[in-house]
Amino acid sequence: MDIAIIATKKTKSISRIIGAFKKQGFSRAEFVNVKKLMLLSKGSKTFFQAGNLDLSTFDSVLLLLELSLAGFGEPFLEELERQKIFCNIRLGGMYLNDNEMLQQIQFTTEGCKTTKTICSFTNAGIKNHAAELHYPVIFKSFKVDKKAQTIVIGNKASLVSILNSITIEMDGAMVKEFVEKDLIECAVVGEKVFALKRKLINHSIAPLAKAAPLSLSPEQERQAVMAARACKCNIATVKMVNGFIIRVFPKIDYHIFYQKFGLTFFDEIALYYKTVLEGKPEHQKIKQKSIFDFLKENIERLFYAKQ
Amino acid sequence: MQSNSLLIIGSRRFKKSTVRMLLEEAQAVFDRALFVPVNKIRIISENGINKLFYKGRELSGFNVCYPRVSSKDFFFAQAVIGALENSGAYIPVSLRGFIVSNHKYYTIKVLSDASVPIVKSSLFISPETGKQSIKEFGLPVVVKTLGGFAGKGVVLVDSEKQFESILDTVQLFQEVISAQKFVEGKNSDIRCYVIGEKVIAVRRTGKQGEWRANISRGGSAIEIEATKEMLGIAKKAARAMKLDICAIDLIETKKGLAVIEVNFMPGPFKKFLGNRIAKEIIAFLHKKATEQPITNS
Repeated sequence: MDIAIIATKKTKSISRIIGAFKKQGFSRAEFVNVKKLMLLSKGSKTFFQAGNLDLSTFDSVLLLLELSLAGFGEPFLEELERQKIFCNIRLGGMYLNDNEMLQQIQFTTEGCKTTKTICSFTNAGIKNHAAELHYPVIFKSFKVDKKAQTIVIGNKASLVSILNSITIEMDGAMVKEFVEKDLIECAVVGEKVFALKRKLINHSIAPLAKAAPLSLSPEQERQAVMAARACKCNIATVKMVNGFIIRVFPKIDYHIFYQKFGLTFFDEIALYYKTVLEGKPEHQKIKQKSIFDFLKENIERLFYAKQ
Repeated sequence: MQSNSLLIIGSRRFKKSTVRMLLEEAQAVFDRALFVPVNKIRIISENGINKLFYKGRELSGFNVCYPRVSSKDFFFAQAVIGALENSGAYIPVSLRGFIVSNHKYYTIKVLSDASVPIVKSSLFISPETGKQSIKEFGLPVVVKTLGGFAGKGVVLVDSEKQFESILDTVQLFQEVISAQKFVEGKNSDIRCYVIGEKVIAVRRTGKQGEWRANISRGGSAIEIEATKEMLGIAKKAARAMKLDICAIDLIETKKGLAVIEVNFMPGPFKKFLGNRIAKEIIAFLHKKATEQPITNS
């Protein structure tokens, strides 16, 4: 078994994750900088290029990319799936989670419990439905390539006033009924859930670093795993309040979860990969490949290289 | 008797003549046909249901929805198409097809996986890595920047120095970059409209001095008879992209035809083809409507 951990830079957490994979008996656990990666399509084949490393020989990948790189991440996931390389994010998981409005549609479609939400292209669209909402609400405005602006609004008059004050053209706006309770931030690893409670103090949520570990009820755990799956993630951050799903991210704050749960957290990730790979032999590529397959692939490579 | 109704969702800045042409054709065969610009739609998610609204009223009872939304409205359109996919209505554009066709490299990759002939292409983030593309393709290359998914710019690069300078600039804006081998054409390409099982082939010729054959850049178009090769490639490409209505743009290479681009909301080229394309699209959608019971609420 082997794994490539792909990110924009090697952090201490990544070094610890590599250690955990080695402890679980992975023969190769290597960091790959995404900046060294290239996807190359020619003929009826796509190849990974990663310097001297042949990524297609790996059984699995842990992809730790920012959602802003979805334009690279999504075709990359497609190629991983085609080559049967197991990954923490499934096909569709980058673009789905990059667009919060699309994610909200997905929650509803997949039966995840959420509060009433209105998505619109323009502010006017939200204004027309302002009377139908229970306050407070969270208002988010989106501009592609920029971070979403988020405001908590207490009543209809304030919402209308804020909507009137925004004059720039947006790519979308969303308003969601807000539940004034502590936020539960979960790290979902397969079926396991590690939860931290972030206290609500004076209408704002305490930083994750100050959060305390929390035991979830089986129903809360089920909801968290369900939300991660709905968003095409095997490993994910799931944010929930009072049983309502707020947001899912394919990335976890590994540093904080390590601080709160110790090395056990990384061991659990490595164990999860090991269990998946052992249970699904189609991902164990090297063992499955015959000498004939190996020769066929390499002859094809040489053929295309000469073209 | 069940009524057939069509909802056309257009871009924020839609082309009035195209909409008028589609609606005129639709009104002749559908019991109800409505056009709504995407920026006028709201989606309300409540009690496990996503509902679409327009002018305060729910958009329901349509058995066919045809989204024709440009890449400029990509972000919100994803949510609308995502909601439509589960509405029970027939839509000729899948969410995946919409996303893939808005990403120039992803399109090439999906087609390559389906053994559709393509032009060599690459995708990368760092200029350092991108330089390998020149080794692979030689010069000149076509560099395409991708802001998220929607394409931002296309530049023809014919020197390594120019390539480096463009990549350095692009990196400042943290863009994802695609490079493609430049295939010298005869200032023309072939657009194959795929409408269900039907293929209509059109030769597009660019205006003098222009390396792209786009009609919007002053080119012209003429319908030609689709060859067996064109039919095969166009149908296979549309299937791979999961698009029932689209245009497959082909270029003639030394080895035969190859796909350079897929357009999921092709213009009807009214000036050159009259209402031929609009008629075929509406006839196809009407056929689908008769097969599709109204289930969307």
